[in-house]
Amino acid sequence: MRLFAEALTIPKAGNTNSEYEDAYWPLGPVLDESCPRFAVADGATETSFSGVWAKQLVEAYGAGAFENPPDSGWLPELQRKWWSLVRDKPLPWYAEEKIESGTFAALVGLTLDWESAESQHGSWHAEAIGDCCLFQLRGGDILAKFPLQSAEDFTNSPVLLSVKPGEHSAIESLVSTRGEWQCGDHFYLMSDAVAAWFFRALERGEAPWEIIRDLDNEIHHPVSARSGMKSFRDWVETARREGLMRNDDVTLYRIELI
Amino acid sequence: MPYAAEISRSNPTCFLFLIDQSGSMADVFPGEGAKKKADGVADAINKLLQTLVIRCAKEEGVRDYFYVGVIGYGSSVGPAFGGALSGKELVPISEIANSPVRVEERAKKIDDGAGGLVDQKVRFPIWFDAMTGGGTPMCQALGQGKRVLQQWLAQHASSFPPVVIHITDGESTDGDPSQAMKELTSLSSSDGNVLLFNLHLSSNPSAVSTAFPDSPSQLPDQFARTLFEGTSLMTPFMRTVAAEHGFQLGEGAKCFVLNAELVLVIQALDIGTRPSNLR
Repeated sequence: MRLFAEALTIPKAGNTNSEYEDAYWPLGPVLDESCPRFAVADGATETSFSGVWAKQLVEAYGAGAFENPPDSGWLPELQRKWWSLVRDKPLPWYAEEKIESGTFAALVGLTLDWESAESQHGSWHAEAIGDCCLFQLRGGDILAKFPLQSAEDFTNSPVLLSVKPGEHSAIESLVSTRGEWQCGDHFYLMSDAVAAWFFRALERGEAPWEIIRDLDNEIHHPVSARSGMKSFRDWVETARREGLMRNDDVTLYRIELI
Repeated sequence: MPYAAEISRSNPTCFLFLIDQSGSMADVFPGEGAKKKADGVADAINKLLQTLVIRCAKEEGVRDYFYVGVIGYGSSVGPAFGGALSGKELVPISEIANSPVRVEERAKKIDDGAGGLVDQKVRFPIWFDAMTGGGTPMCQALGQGKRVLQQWLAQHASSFPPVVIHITDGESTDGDPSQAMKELTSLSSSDGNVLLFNLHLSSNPSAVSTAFPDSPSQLPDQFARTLFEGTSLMTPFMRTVAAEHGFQLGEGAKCFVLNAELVLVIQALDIGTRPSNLR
């Protein structure tokens, strides 16, 4: 088994790259099986320092924290870290008041398991809170959709993971699933805007994976490097302009098992 | 679909307050002890401005999702911000954030964790001070609001439509405001017409507190009915926020509140100024 994975990202239209509030793990393109964990998180737009929280969560997922129950200590530790990071900065009155309302993020994470580097199949499990989604594709079949099941499951107020220690109830909404993988499978992790687009296309009877597997991340691959690929940025901008995708930060993590 | 435009720094929206500052606004607020209506309204507007600033605050500063104006009318009609913003009609929210006239310390009741309440000191920025005197030149104020929004809409033609929040306690002294309200709400962006919210702090002893009625049948006098007729229908975003505040609304509910206590004024301001599609 070999593994190829990369994240494709773009901030909201009108925002700069530094204002992107999604996060993903691992950061670099993954070209081998050294890293079995992947995660995408989406920080809440209406709060501040939500990108910092999203980044902390995917790093925690990558380090295996979600393998343990949240009350084993990793979540309070993460929350303390966020508060100490943001309170450490000199801020004007409005920014200080904004911080007191905390922040939130959605997350989906995938962990792949295998017996050896020669394995042709194995198991996987995934964890999620909120409306970041995972899809498993084999050939032309969707084998898994997680945690949402349809476009109508997207609401304006998904349950999100909070930085406030008193708001532990959201962690009770952490859901998990598991399955089997085999070589040739594709996994996609998505933040909500692109996931909602994917669901709507599926529900129209289309094959949206045919579009996203041919998108090229110009950051890692110059346009000339791979022929027949379409620019991810151009595709998202067109979908937004045509009203097919909400204007939001977009993160698409593609994982291919070869 | 109207009232669906994205609100962003490149496509901001606008909130314009028209505040009655006539002599009768020095009367006491219903149900608020000795607090004058004018002081209660000033507190509510300052609190709302603070809320709007915080809503737009991000780690790098305040994003200009909103332009805000306050026009007062009484002895005269004109912009009512104080301090560095004096004389300005519409101001981006970041400029408001950085230009309070002063920051007061107020006491806020909080739970003491043992079943009681204790005072906690909180910062309370002031941009707008209460002022009373003179008549009620409502038509002139609505006309000035129309002129300000016409100019703004010429530069923001695809914006989420401006919301006008008009707070008054009395009868217009410069004529029937029906036509002026109609002209104001006939202004539009490509996303819909200007929305007019009327908060009527009536002095009529037979007026009962009414929030977001869908018919004028319970209103106590012709003046309240005139304001009701000129008021916009509630939009989906307002209905969502109203539901969060526990209001059950009829099909044709309007952005109209009569004889409100201060808490209802604050709820109504929240309902009128919380469109959800910030980007």
